[in-house]
Amino acid sequence: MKKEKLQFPPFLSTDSTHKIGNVALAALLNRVKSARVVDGKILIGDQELSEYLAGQLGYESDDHSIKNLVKAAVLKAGGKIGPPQDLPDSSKLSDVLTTDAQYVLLTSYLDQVVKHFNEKGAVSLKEANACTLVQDAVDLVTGKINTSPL
Amino acid sequence: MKYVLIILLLFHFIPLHAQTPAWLKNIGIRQSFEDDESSQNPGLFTISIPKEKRASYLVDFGLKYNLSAAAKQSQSSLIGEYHRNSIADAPVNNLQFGYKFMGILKKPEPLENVFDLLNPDYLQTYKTLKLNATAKYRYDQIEGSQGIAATAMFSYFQQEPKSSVKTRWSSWNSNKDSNFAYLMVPEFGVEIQHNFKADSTIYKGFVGRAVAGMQISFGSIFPNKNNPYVPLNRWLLTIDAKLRYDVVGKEYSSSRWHPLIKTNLDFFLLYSPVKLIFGPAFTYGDNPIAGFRQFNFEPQQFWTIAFKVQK
Repeated sequence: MKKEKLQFPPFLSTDSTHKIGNVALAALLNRVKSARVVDGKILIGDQELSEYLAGQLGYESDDHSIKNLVKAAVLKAGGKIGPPQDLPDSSKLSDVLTTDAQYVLLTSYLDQVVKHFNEKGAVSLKEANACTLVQDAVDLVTGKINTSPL
Repeated sequence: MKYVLIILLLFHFIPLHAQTPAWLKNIGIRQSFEDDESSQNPGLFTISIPKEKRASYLVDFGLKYNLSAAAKQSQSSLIGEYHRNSIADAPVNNLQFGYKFMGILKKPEPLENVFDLLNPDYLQTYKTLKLNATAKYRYDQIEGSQGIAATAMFSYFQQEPKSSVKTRWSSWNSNKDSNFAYLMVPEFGVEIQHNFKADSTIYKGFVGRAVAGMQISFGSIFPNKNNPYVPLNRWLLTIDAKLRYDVVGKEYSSSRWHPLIKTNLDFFLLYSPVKLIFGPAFTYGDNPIAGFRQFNFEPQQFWTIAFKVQK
């Protein structure tokens, strides 16, 4: 079955944040209702709807960047919790991940991140093993996403 | 019992940056690749060549090269190991090379939403068995033997949120105050050894063994200002215990039981610009495949004291 490229806003991602997310979503929908069509374009204020939604959902913010997704993947694979922004780019992967099973988890996460943005992309265990620093993993994922034919 | 002071460089911790050639990134160095690679086990390489006396050696050095594959749960590698020891009672001079397969038996569950990773409190439950299998050609200069050896060792990995489990396996645990960390890696499996050529008939023939073991590491830690996710060690004690039993075939020694205990106590003296570690290590027992054999019908033992430099 072909996977749809849907990007859920972070505030809809977990049960614990649903309440805050619902309030934010209600406000967002209310604003979207004010959209109008001008010259075949859907505008909210002076912005096109797609640009407005992208901004509201935080896709362009640093918190939800590919780099932070990869850092979060490294931390979760290593069994650590906390904000990914605090993990330095220069951290050695071998300091966070100490066993093959954690590298397999990391490979699974990186593969899913890549496939989310590029269906034909994939990450192998060998490629994850070859990453020395966190920045290497970021470069690996960014490179795979940027090879998207879209 | 003999003592030796060693200055040791931990080669496998030297960072390889993005500009490093791809082939170099696929190399790994350890003392041995037979078992689980969760605990530190850096290659050991010391040679002393006095002018008037015979040279002495303590070499436990393994080299691994990862082969190309698109797999997500397994890794194939070429491996080579060299073990040489002239400081113990019975000398060791043993060379092995061959193939290694590492496979994770259970695939991680896919994430419901990839953005769950950005939730700071999210942690996926993952439990699996891991297989480390090797097939090697083996040459032992002391025994004058040549043959093959194969191992299949399983270890258990368990990692869950702290709210649902108190103990992780093959993954570091820490206490509530984050000042003490420990690691436990259980292992079990089989190994076979067939020497098709040997100087003495004692060492010729086939033997199949059952193997069980446990690696335990624990020590004091404190927060790292430069990286909140990688605490620094004050001291670390590592015990790697294995018990082998000759189930089928002939016995190469007087006993069917082959215990092997390796312990290291590391004190961390300096963290920057390089880590400087000092501590003793104690080895007891025998390991037939690696050529570390009994002496006078008893398990061998020896101490080493080492300074280690880690970048």
